[in-house]
Amino acid sequence: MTAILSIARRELRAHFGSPMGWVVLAAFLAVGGYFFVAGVALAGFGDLRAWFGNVTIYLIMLAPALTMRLVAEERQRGTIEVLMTSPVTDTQMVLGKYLAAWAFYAFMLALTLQYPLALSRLGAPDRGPIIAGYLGLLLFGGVFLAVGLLISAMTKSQVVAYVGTLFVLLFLWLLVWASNGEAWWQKLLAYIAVPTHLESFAKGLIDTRDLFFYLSFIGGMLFLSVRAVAAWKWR
Amino acid sequence: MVEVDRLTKYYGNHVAIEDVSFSVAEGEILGFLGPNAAGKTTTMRIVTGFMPPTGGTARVAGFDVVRQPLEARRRIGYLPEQVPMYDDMSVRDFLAFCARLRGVSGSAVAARVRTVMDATQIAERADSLILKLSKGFRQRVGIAQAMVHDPPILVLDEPTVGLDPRQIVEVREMIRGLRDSHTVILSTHILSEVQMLCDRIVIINEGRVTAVDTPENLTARLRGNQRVTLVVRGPAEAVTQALSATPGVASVHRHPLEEGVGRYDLEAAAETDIREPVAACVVAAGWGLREMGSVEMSLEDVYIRLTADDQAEPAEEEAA
Repeated sequence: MTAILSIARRELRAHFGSPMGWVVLAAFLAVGGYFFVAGVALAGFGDLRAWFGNVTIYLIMLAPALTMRLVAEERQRGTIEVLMTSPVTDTQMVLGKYLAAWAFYAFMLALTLQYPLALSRLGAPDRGPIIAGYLGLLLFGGVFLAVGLLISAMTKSQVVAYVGTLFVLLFLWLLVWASNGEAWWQKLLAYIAVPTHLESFAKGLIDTRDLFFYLSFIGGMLFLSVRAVAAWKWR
Repeated sequence: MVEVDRLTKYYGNHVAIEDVSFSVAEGEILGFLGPNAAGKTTTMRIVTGFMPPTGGTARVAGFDVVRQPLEARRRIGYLPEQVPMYDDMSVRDFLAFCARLRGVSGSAVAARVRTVMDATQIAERADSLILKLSKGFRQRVGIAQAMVHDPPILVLDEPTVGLDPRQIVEVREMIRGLRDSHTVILSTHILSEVQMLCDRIVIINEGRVTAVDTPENLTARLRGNQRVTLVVRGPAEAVTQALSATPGVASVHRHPLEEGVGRYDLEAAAETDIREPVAACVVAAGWGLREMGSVEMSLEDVYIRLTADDQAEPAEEEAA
């Protein structure tokens, strides 16, 4: 556990110490603020459902920026040699890095809590959907970050990690389009598509099936990331 | 402390090292000597657990680096060849991170960091970003991070490369200070370095160990029989005959220099000193003895002979 936390701590400092961390944070708040003002406040909605939906779209662009350097940069700079010759398992390394990326994302989300606060001054929004929506968004982002971590663990180029992750996330999102129907494969696609599981959260429902989906998706990605880190040694 | 047994590593079809075996006793400084791309770094990366071998085993303090990697790594401090470090951290933060990562307990971290910064004389730059350090400071931070968890075994991959002469002397002094208290494996392609620092030397070339021995024995072994060179003024035939007839002389080769003067390369029979007999012989015959010298074989020659393609000696004797 100490090793995981040491790695997470260093990683978080790197996020906050790098221009990339602040650019992502600023972009997230700027676009999020615009969506809130234009899509919620001016449109006269009394809840954040539209906003939650919009955030998932630009997370496609921002999540890869948070994860691209996680492992790829270590390989590129060679610092992975210091890390992997320390008494740390591959799993500890992957968990530490994931934890850091996720914590940074949680910090970004926390800064957007001003929107529901603003909303409650304008009217009396229902609390349930907002709290559930934020939980859903935390998990949703967690999936994206886990995908990004996996791809970062497979390359030593941060650019490849960014572009690769962007396309995979875009694909995972766009599965929604093909999934409106009753055929078995459309139901399957609807199940795999990451955003469909956010809908009930935004309605204020915390469904264990959706929780299970997100958590097992994250777990699967992290497992593959550990394998990817281990596989690299045999090259 | 470290036992390496028939290590082999392939990168695809390329053989990086083959059948590399050696061992290091506690408190010993072992020099790992070889030209660039001989397999030094590959061997060290396997010993430190960074990559698994294709075949063979490496044990550190009794722990197999593949089967019990964490136990083995806990006991090793490693300075990688390129000294990779997180450029965006300060020296102090980086060392504290390394200490925590390697199991130094929270309350002891600051004291350990202070100790290694003092030992490597980097305390004055403790709060500088690693990015801003000169090559010499970087190298010292690299050594400090290798020592920060106080490991009994240090693996240093080319610790003096890229330093200026004064820094080289300092780093060597520091390594010398580790003798007895630490077990050290040191790789280098600089001969004088191993000669100065190491108790034993492993010479590696093209992925194979060509010799394992003390510096003294290596030179002695390859020096072989005594060789003496004379420059003599006198009739070629007669001089050659007289020298050949001197007791203890095994062979004579003449190279004409100028009119009536020749250089004679003599090799002695095993364990014989022929310097005085041949001098006496030349002088007694009344020829002019202009120069005389014995040919010493330095570790440099040993190294070149062992690593030269055409006359590489097969691995022999103690591949301990």
